[in-house]
Amino acid sequence: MLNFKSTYTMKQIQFKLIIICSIFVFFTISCSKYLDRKPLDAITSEDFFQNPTQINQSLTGVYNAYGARTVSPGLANPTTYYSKMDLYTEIGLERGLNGTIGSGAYNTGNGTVAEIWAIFYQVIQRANTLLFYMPRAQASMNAADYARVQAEAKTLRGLAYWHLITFFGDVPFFTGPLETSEFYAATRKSKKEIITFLISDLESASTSMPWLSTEVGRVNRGVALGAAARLAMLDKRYDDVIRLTNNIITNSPYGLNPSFENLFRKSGQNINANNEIMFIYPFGDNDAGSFSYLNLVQGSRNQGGQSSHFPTQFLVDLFECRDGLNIAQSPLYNPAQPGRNRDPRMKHTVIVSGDTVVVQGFTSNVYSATNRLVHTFNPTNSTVTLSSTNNQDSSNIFGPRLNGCGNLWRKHTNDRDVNGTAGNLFKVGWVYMRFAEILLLNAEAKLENGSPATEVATIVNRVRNRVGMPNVSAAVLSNANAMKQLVRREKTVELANEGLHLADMRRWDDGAYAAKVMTGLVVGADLSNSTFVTGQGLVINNPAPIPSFDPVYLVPINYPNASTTRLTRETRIFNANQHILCPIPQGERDKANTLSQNPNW
Amino acid sequence: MKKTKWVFLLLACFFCVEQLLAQTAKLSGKVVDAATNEPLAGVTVIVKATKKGTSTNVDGSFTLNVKDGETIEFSYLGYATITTKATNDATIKLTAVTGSNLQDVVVVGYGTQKRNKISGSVATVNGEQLIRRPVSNVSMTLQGMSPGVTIRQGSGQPGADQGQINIRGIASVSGGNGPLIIIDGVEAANMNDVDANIIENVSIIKDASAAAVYGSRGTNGVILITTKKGIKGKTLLALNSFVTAQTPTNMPKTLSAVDNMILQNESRRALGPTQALPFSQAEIDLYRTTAPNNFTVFNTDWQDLIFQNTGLMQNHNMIVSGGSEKSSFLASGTYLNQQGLLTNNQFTRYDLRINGDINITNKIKFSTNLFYTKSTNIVPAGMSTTEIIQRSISMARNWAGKFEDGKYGNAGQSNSVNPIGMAENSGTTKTETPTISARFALKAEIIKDLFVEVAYNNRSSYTQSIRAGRTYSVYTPNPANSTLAYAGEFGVLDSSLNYTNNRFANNQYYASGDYSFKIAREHNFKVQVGMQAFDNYNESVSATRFGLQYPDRPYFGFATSPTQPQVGGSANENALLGYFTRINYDFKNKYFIEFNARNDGSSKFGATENKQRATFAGASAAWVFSKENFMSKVSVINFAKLRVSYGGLGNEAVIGGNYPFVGQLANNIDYYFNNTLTRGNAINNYPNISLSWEKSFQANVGLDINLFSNKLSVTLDYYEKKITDMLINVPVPTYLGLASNQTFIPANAGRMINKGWEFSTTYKNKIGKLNYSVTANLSDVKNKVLYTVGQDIFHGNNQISRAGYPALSYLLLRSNGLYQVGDNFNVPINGTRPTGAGDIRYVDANGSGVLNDSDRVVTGNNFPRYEFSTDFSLSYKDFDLNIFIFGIAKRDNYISGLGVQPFTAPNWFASGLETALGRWTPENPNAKYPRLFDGGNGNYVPSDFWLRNGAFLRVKHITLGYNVSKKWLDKISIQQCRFYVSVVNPFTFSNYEPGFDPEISNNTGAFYPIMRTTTVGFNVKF
Repeated sequence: MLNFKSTYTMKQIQFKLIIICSIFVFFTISCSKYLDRKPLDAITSEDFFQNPTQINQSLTGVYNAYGARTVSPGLANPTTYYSKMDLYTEIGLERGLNGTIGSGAYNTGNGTVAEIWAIFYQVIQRANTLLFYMPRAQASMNAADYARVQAEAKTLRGLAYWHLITFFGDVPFFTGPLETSEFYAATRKSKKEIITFLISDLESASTSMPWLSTEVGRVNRGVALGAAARLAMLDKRYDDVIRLTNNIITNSPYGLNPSFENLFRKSGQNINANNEIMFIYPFGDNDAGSFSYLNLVQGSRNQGGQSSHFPTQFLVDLFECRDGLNIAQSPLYNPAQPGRNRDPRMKHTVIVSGDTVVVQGFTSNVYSATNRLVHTFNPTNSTVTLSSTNNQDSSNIFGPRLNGCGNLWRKHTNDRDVNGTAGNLFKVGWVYMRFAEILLLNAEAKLENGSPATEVATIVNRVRNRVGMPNVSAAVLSNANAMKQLVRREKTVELANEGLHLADMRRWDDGAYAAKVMTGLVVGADLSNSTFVTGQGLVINNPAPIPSFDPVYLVPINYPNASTTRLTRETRIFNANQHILCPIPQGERDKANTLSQNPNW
Repeated sequence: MKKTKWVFLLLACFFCVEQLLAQTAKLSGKVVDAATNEPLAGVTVIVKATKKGTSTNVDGSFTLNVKDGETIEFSYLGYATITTKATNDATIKLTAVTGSNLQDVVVVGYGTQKRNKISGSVATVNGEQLIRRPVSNVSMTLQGMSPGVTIRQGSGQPGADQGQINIRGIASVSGGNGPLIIIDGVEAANMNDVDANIIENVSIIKDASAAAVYGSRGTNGVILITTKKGIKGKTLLALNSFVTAQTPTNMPKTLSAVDNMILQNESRRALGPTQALPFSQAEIDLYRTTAPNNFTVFNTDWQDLIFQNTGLMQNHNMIVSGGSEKSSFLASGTYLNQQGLLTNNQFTRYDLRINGDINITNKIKFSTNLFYTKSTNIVPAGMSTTEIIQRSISMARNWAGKFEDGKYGNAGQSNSVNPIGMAENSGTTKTETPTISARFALKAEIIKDLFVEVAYNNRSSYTQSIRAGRTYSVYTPNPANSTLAYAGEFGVLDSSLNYTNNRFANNQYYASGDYSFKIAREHNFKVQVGMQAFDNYNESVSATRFGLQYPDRPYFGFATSPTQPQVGGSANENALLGYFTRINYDFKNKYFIEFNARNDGSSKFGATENKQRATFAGASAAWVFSKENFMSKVSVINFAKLRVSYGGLGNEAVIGGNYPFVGQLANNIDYYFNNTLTRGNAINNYPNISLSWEKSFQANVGLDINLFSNKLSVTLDYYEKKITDMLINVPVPTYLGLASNQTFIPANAGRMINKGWEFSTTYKNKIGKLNYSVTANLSDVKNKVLYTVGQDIFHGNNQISRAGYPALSYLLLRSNGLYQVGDNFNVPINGTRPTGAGDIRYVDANGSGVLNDSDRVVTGNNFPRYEFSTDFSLSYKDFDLNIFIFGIAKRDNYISGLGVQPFTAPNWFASGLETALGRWTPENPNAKYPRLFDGGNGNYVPSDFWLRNGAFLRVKHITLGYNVSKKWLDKISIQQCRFYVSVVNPFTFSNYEPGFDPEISNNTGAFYPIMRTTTVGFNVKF
């Protein structure tokens, strides 16, 4: 017979395949959890937001985003971005780099603009993430704590939107984590709608927080209402501003600190007399690594500063003399000694020629941006000598003379003379919001809303009297424009270098004010050398002419012979129909072409 | 090529009486392979006169109706066709021709297949070919071996000189591009897991259908490496050894001290006539008239002073193997030591491997592969080797290098770092990686033709990197009193000691069953199903403390600085689980069909939307049309096969971690409440829960032809590979609110296509005693990005993947030569650049009147096109000669930084290269380089002016070997003894930038040169 093996039947084949398959079924069952791999060294959004500790950690993350950040160009160090904001206005200057926001000569690709956009959206994202996920932990938290955490996150979110609207006008508006479909498709929501939402959001959140922060550094009921008032002001909703600020003024335990200076010194901040400071960015008392670098960017180069933030001469000259008159009118003003007889807030806000900069344990100096050598001051016996030390403020190409127009900021770096806070390492917190701002918001809104000048003056006088400035004069009370400009000036000088002026500058008269004060050559302090006179201090040898004041805005605007008598910098550009808003960053529009651009950018 | 002679055994079993009576007999028989005694299936058996016939079935048997006395022809691929009379003779023995590789067994995914049956695109390389190339790593031995397999070497640094492998172009713009590497069935971390000496063969799977059995991760191709095994009944002792001297292929030449001074002055003078010059005329004159004395006049040859190491490489390998009927065994040990060019730079590797097979019963076979490697890499602690070399080519010769008494010169730069001191005396970083891997496998024949195999493999490695820093002093000569003044301390300040430990563990589980059967007589099937699971665990710990007192004793007991010690650590894991199947079908040994499919799950994708699993399938078919009747008259064609394949493959190489589907929280997002640090957390990434597999679909058409008695073989392939759902790190708007460094999210967001062709041919013949063979490979692949969700994907600053252009194209300003005297320099406005004659004329590509980044255009690409190689092998009596030539016909290569810009370095005083002598001057208006201008004047911003032609032709290897005569060896019981000398990279032909090697991409002047080597070695087998 034939010896061929017969071919297999289908049945046999099936049988064998079943054997094979059953082997793999075994493996499959044993491996069902095999692909379930979660991060080992990080907590995930899936297992987070489960308990009060995690919720509080997440809230801390929101504060972190709002807090210690730097806006470039600048140094990568813990300075709050608020310290940059006034440098984009007529009262401040950044170190001269091409294309700063203040100069107006920048474009849609500007890195600072992109960074400001990004950091505030980071605050918003962190707040939204927390708000979205926190219901997971609701059952495990007591209701009051839960509501307070929610309210704090909403307050920080509201403040972030206030910044964004200030800079950009209409912006993409998110109140929760983004859906994938929104990644590239965000559109800008009108600022009116956003503000409407946020005012009620913040007002309702405010009731879940106490007037006084549970811990220093947290927001509270007043901050929520204040943030809502700032937002309402951006849209000129004066009724809302009055209602919100009246609530604070009437019901809160806040008042004015009798010492203006103490608001910006560590010891004063710790006491916080009359609870004037409502919201502050604090540094760690016992942590050597926690300190503000503000002195590095604001301080004198003779004492370790790397000056890159400066006040303008405009601000210096905006401070009244003690008699309540401006420097062009007051008989008390001596251009050879510009720091004398001035509004006491001036010396706590800026450093001008002839002022002393004192650091215990270090050489103190009599500030001059023009002399080639440093005048040193001995605080023990109050004597001044001309040392042979080269004056870095005069000679360094990034120093105040060659770059900064001759003046320095003092506010927030006033603690140089506190023993033990040597060098650049000091712990003065940044004041985000204080009661004086609430008063002035209230005053401005009332004035705009047609309240009697006397009523407004009562509020403004509280702020003026605290530093010893006289009441609003009868002449001003009787002149509607003078009253209006006084309120504005009061806001500008009281809150200078607190990061709040940009919103005002852009809002006032819809850009007409800004166009007036931002355009033209940036002028500074006197070019002239000075001489030390016993009993008087430094006296400028050949003072530059006193500026004349704008007839409408009543601000120092015309500096005769400025280019030969004063330090100067670039000619600033400000087109009211363009620079009133920053451009939406080009990088964002490249990614999301649904984003429109602001006019004329 | 085995010299084994193949024999046909034809067994005529018996004849049927009835058939005989009818004058027609039914002839039955069996055809077997004489060497292995295994039946040969599919042998064509025809009656020559009538052309009627049949073929043998799976057990080699056949039946055929024949008339008495008719001639019968037996033909089979790779065996000589024989004709014989149909008689009662039981056995006919015949000799087959040599020279055909068609019967070679090729390793394919999870199995083997005979070369002639393969329907996909699979290239093979024999282990013998690899060890003819005495280089330190396996990847470079594969360069040019197969068309479509691009291997680029970017560095000659010991321990880091592997080639980067791309099979059929770039498959992903930001995900993984390297092929899957499988060594003896185990996925390897990289090619360094295997030593070249022990490789039996390498299969490179290029098309989708063949790789589909690896489904998920086969998208970049698969390289299968099989190591040697012991052979039954043969005991073997083999020694392979070589010693190599290494020198750089090419190094840029630095300007002489005097030229450096003159040209630097020229560059400063370009700023304006009143500029203070760096060198006074008196100083230049002093240098002109005085011989260098290394005290007041210097001519420091930095390269010479830095390249103080021997550059010697040695590799010694011993293999012992043996086997009996029941078991076989092979052990291999290799020692590699590769000295770098710099002091304190070397790489050492020990490699031990044991392969064993035991037949537990006739039906159950156990096998194991064990290997242990330990690599040790030593580099200077204070500065990377590439930066030291960068300084060696760019530091000016008129600064002090090293004084007679061995003191280091204060090299004058702003921070006075002396690179010689950095190499010799800044301490060392020693990185040791022991790896151990063990595989156990059982294979059983459950019932006839049903095999089941299960295997487990564990691979663990533990990397420990110890950086023990120290400082060295530098001195400034003081000519006034002829002494050296101490100028400072450099190196690793604070003598920091750092340990970084990394533990890596990988488990692999494998099970498969295959079953062969046939339906009807000539329909042969093989079905395989299997599963594979794979998991990785990775953990690291690092610690740093300052103040190491004794740099030679790098232990924390001696690092006592109170400065805050730092510790850190991390861990992650991932897993894969796949099921696969393969069905092979062949009919009459002429038609082949293969189907592969795999379902894979990856832990890198989210389970919530069921994104973990994906199925990939491929099919291929081949037609050996040379066996068709109509081809029988075309006698020059011995074999011809047409192949087609199509299939889908995947890729899970997500950028940015193993958990892109989940938001991870960053710690230390802290804040001070009540002036006290309070811990915070924040989401660090936007999760993409719908992220899933990247997919590719590849179609391949191929042709294999053997001509002229198999002397000439040709392989041609054309393919198109389309990648969809490409894994890309897509830029996202910052309004998503991620951390500023997280402006990307991984997404399936791109499409791309690769089209390419490959040609390979080999001609083998002999003239008398001269045997020779020539192999030529030529291939090209064209890439085009089709879609990236409308986003430009940047790779660094100058390279971009943009829809409509090849991936990783250059994005550069376009230049239009150099401005000449009298040109209008203000059009277009160049920002604040004071343009003058001799500056690069940039093109205002967008016509905006302003030059800026938006004028950059996509121009040129670094990926090689038209890659070619030729291999000549000759043997005459006892001598053999091999010459291997490799080249790339089209490629753009961008050069920047110190490679082009003289006198500018981040923090040292740079010289220029000799090319600076060719700068533009009014007398040299057709210069190749722009005028010298202190600060560069915008001439060195990324532009196509610095895009160089990266094409080259390189004689890669020349090896001459001598085999000691058999008659002498037999007397001392040695089977084989071969001595050889070899040179690697002896000649290069290129139009590239002088001093630079065209194989190194995007050279910034910071590189470790590729080596030209000379080797002597021997192979002995006992």
